[in-house]
This record gives sequence, C-alpha cells and structure tokens, in this order.
Amino acid sequence: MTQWQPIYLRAPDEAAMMQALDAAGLVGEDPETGDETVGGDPFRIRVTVLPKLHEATGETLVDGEGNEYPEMAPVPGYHVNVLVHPDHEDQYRSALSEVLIDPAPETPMFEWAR
Amino acid sequence: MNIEDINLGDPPTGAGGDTMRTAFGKTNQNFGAAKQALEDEVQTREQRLETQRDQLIALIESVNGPLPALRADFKVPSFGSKNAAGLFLPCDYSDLFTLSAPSPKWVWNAQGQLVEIPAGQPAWDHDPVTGEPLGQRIESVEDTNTAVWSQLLSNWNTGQPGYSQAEDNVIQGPDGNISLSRIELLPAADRRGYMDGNSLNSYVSGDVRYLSAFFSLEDPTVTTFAIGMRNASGRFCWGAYNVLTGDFSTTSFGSAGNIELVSEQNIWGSLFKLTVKWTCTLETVFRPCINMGVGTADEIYNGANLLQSGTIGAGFVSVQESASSYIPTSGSAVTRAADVATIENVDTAEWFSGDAKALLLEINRLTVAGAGSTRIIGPPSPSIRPIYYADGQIRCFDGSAVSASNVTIGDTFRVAVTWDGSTKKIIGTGGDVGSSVHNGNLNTALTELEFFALREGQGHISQLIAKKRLLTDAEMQTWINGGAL
Repeated sequence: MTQWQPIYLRAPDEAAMMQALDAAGLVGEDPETGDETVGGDPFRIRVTVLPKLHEATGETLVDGEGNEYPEMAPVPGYHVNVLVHPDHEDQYRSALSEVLIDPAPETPMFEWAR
Repeated sequence: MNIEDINLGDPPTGAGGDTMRTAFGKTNQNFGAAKQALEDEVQTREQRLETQRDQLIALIESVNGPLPALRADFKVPSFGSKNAAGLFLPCDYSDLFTLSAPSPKWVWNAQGQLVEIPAGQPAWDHDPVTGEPLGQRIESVEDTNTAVWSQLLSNWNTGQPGYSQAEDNVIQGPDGNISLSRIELLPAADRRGYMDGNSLNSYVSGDVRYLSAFFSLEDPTVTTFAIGMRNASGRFCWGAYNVLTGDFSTTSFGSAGNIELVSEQNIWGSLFKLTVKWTCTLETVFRPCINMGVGTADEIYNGANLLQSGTIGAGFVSVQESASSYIPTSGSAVTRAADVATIENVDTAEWFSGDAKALLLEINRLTVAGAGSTRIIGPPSPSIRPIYYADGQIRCFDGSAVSASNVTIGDTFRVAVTWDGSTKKIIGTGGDVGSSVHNGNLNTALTELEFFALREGQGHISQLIAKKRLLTDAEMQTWINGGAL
C-alpha cells in the first residue's frame, strides 16, 4: 500500500481555518443532524482538528511537594492535521496553501500513525 | 467429419495422385474439419456440464436452500460469493470488501502477542487470553494517544527528583519482545513510586479519556499498579489495581477528576493490563502518571504502605478518547486514522429492490460512539439503516424497533434480518422475532453498504451472510442460537 502523506495546517483562529477548509471542500454537513462536519472523501483524505496546543516556555517551576515542572503556555493559532492519499496530495496541498505549514514541523506535537 | 486422403503421385504422369498444392489443400480441409468437430464437442460437453451444474445447484439448494449471495467468515478468515451462473465460489477479502485504513493497527494474534497490522490491511484480532479469533477489528472512529513515549518510560519524569528511575526494554511486554520499561524505586525511606509522562495537554471539566497501561509484577514487595492523571501543581487522581487481592480503588486530590475501572486483565504470567476511564473535573494541563506500591490507591500515596524500594515493569501506556486499540507513540501524540470498510462487488441496490432478501450478522465487542443510534451496517445516508443499535436494542431499518432483544455492549451477538418487500423481520441474540411493515425506504437505490457508516461505532465483525431469499422464523432462531445457515 502506498503510504498516505501528512499535511500540517495552522491558521490565526478557528474562523480562518474553517474558511480555508471550506474552500478546499472539506467542510460538509452531517446528513442526519445537519451539523457542520470537517472532512472529505475518506478514501482520499482524513482531517483532524487538534486540541489547544501548549509548549514549554523554558522556565522551570516547583510545586508544593518539591516537584519540578516546566511552565507551559498556549501555542498561538488553530491547528489541524491532514492525512491524504498520495494520489491527491498535490491537489490538497494547493487547495490548502493559505494555511499550510511549509516546511512541515520537524517535531510536531501531534502526528498521524502511518 | 470427413477425412480427405492424400495420395501423392508423380505429376503429371502419376495416376490419381495429388499435387503438392492439392495435398496442402486437403490438409487445410482436414484441419478445418477437425477444428469444427472439436468445437462442436466442446460446446456439447460445456452444455452438458452447465446442465449438470444447474442440476447440482438445484439439488444443493433443494436440500440447504438457495446459496448465499455472500458469505464472509472473518474469524477464519474465509470468503465466498455467488457468481452470475449461480455458483458459490471462494474469493479473497478484497473481492468483497474495500478497506481504507491509512494507519497501522495493533491487535492480538492467536499466540497472545500484540502485533502491528500494516496500514491498508484488515486487522484480524483475537482474545489475548484465550486466543479465540474475534474477526476483523474495525475502528471507524479515529483516536489519538496523547501519552508520549508510550513505551520508553525513561523519558518520563520521576515524580519527586531522585525517587525513581526507569530503564527501557528490560522486561517482556505484550508484543512478546523485551519491550517493557523497568521502574525502580530508589532505596530510601517512604517513597512514592510514581512517574509522570511528558504529555502536556489541556483539559476542561467533562472531558473523558481512557487510560491504560500494561504492567508486569517483578518484585513481590509490589502488588499494586496505578494509572491516572496529574497536573503540575500536584493535583491528581488514580485508579489502582491490587493484583494480590483483586481489588480496584481510586483516590483523588484537588478535584482532579473521577476514575472508573474499565477492565483489568491478566494477559499471561505476570503481565497485566489495566484500563480506567477518567472524567476531568478541573480545567488545567494534565499529564498521565503511573504508580506502584502495596494496598489501595490511597495507601500507595499516603500512609504506612509507602515503599522503601520496589520494582515493576510498565509500558504501552495510552491516554485515548476511547478504549480502542493501542497506539504507540514516541515524542509526539499520535492519531490513528479511522477505518472505512465497505462491501463491494455485491449488488447492494438489488437487496433493497423489493425482492426477498436477508442479512445475517455476527458481531463481537461492539462499542458505540454515543447515546444515539449507531448503524452497524448501512449506507452513509440518513434514514436507511439495515442493521443498527439504539437504546440498548439491535434494530433494522429506520424508526421502528422491530427487535425485542436487548444487547449488552461488548458481548458477542448475532442478528438476522429478512424482508419480502412488504414486511421486515428481525431477531437478535436473546430476543423474540419482531416484525412490522416497512415504509418504503427499502426501495431506495443504494450504491454501497458500510460497516459502522458515519463513524458511529466500532467492533469486530465476525460473520456476514447475505441471501436473496426470505428466512423462516426457525432459520432465524437457528442463526441467533449459534447455528449455521
């Protein structure tokens, strides 16, 4: 099997991301509930919206029991991971170019199993 | 067939002889006649064979009923379908089903080892303890393991500095390899043997995660293993399983959440798997933690049972949104893409055209996404649900509950559905036959059937049979009682 390819997306906020996904044909409607859904043809593409990301600030804090722990701060932006069948990678990279993280992060906080 | 004799003479004086030209002409005639005779014979024999085949099919069907349009035993696995001539022939999985599985999946093989099934291949799963085949594990909902370094616990934090240490790949793990980390509580007085994962994710009250880990008892002074969540300011909640007593207990500090036992399982020897459900009650950044000790969840954190030393094997840690299959991680959270499995090469539209049809299904360890209906087999379209789960029952088609059987999520159950164009019937394991008049949705032209369409549930598909005839009540009862059809 040809390995599916990951695409990492980041937008300033949720509205901008949804606009970009919609333009790429990746926003639909649940046929039963009518709710907005994110995704496309599952034989071509998979889309997952990431939770709010946090990263270490570099500062170390100590809790009341003496445990050291890194100070964390939210990562700016709204993040989405995409996994695309290689036959359709170019098409979706182009369609999502406005929110594409290029080059892809070397150490993503979330990645696809593949 | 007439054979032309060739008599080569000595033209032009040879009497009655053939010239080379006439000889080859006769040869061509002879070959042509032989070819025609052979074709006639083949056709005759082919017609005879077709007649015998049809008689044989008729004989088989007169005894056993019509051959199924499709028969799939996912436990063997073996597959077959009926072709246009009426013959039921064995075939491959890919001849009947189309699977999109972009991610690899970890399931149990028959030897009780956790093995990786490469992306794109069906995952034949087994019970890890008995080795019983469960069928194809289809996980139609994606899941993410946010516990980073799920197998290399030396990358985790050691709680209070210097209290414990981990060495990777020392103890035999569920994959049969030396893949568990050994966690050692360093010699000192009254220590807590916990370790914190480096997964730092924010949660809000109401979030639910399933936490699981494998652990191996390596030291008689350690009998309890715990898993839970902990934040940076020391708020935590744990669920602890005491192997010695078989008791499960929980503890919480600082409103960090609620822990419920999902399962504790002795896989083999000293290897166990503990799975708990964590419901967050505090908005903060949490990380997974594991702990070891003696006694209850409270006692391994406070009181007289704190250890002075101890060792345990641990690894394959998961923090996932459902109790789905294991997803290994290294330095990142990892998402396993959902499976999409559809039935191909079977005229599904014809199944709903009004003629007599039947579906028989066996399913193992179903889990459902929510309180609403969950279609087990159906098209990705509203209102058409050949077989679905709702409100504790297995039902067929839309709206009306035609099964009186209540099913327990997680159990193995069978269901049989049949309809004749005006009436549908369904019976499930433990239930009575129900019936009602269908409402016309059955005639909708369908283009595909999908397991767990709309990503509503997941489980193991064990058997599927499609027939283009009505089932009798007795046949339906035979099926749900474990018999063959």
